[in-house]
Amino acid sequence: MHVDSKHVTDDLPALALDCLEAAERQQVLAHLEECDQCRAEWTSYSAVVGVLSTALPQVTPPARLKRAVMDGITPPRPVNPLIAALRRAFSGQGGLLRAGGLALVLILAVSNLVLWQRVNDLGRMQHAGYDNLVLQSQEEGSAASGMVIYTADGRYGLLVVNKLEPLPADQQYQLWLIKDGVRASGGVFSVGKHGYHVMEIYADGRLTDYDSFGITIEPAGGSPGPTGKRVLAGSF
Amino acid sequence: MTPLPDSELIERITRRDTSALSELYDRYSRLVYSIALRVLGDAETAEEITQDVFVLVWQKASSYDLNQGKLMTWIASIARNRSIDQIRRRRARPEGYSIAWEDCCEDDPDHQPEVEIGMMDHHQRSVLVRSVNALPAEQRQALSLAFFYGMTQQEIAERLNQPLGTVKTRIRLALQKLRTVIQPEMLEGREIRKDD
Ligand SMILES: [Zn+2]
Repeated sequence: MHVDSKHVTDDLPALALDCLEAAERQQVLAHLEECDQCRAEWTSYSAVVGVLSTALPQVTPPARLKRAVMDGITPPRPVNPLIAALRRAFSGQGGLLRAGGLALVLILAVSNLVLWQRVNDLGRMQHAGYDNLVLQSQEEGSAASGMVIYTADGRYGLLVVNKLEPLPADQQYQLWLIKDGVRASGGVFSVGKHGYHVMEIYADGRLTDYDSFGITIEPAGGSPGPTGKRVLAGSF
Repeated sequence: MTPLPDSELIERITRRDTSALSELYDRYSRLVYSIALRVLGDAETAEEITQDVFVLVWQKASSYDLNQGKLMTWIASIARNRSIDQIRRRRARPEGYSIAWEDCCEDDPDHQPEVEIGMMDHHQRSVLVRSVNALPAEQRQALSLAFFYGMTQQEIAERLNQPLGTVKTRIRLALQKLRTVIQPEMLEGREIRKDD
């Protein structure tokens, strides 16, 4: 099909409504590939169909549907072996932490200095194939500290931070995974009033493939790349 | 709290912020569910489609381009496409279900919808609904069969026992007419504020 072939103007409303026969549809689509004019027309008819759809009277779906939607976008991940290891590490110390992995993260996330010190005592985890990287405060006089705990193969990681300043509602902390100067987001988080937080790190590759990690203050929801003050950093 | 603009919600979704998807759901689930329910006539399948649509938005948020139109229109189009696909796959609707523009979309000037966000502006909707209702009955009928029933022009021609060319003309004239009444603010990606 060439650009000088006949325009398909008359079929564009039907294409936008998706009511062409399959063969016709193929021909029209092939023409659109090469004709900006017809493509612009089609876009405007598609907008008409879209606007028509938004004009229908609205009905509220059952409340349970939201749960299904949210579950559908966060499929269960393989159990982070770190969480299992942390659970084992803590299991001797009373029944408090005999909970499941996720519950443990929750407990860590809301807990206090005592737990932080336990997490710091990771020597016994290392021989079991876990390692950690300390993140140092980048500010004079700040007591903030952090640690990335990861499996030896670098596939799973947890970030633990302590004594970070709580931020106003329009700001959050963002973890950066840095390799060859390229920074990928490792997640966005806020801290409680003690400045404590634990977060699973989601990385595309292995954590051990990165050169360093950094934490900056960003607008709530995070940024595509670091823009704010750097508060914690650590390198392999 | 001021609701976040759509543009920011979608940007957060591209950054895998599940709370942004949760907010988007609160804003547009009625829209998506209503389209699916009207097209499919079956609440259970409408729920499945609604779930599909939001999972798709979660996965494809980065392909949404603000310059191409409002987020609401983009989501509505996905909802209709998915619903029509489903109807075609099933090749059937619940027994006795029928739908046409005049059944569902009367213009009721006294009715002020409670929900503002996630819905078309009340005045714009009136303009559009009146324009659909003002179409010649045979154009409106062809439009309904395509829009709600997912019928092809050929199927519509057979159903109405009319020549294919006649049906094509009706569809074309109907959409041409509606395109003339669609106002730029119905299409633009920018937010429309109540006090504009
Ligand atoms: Zn053309």
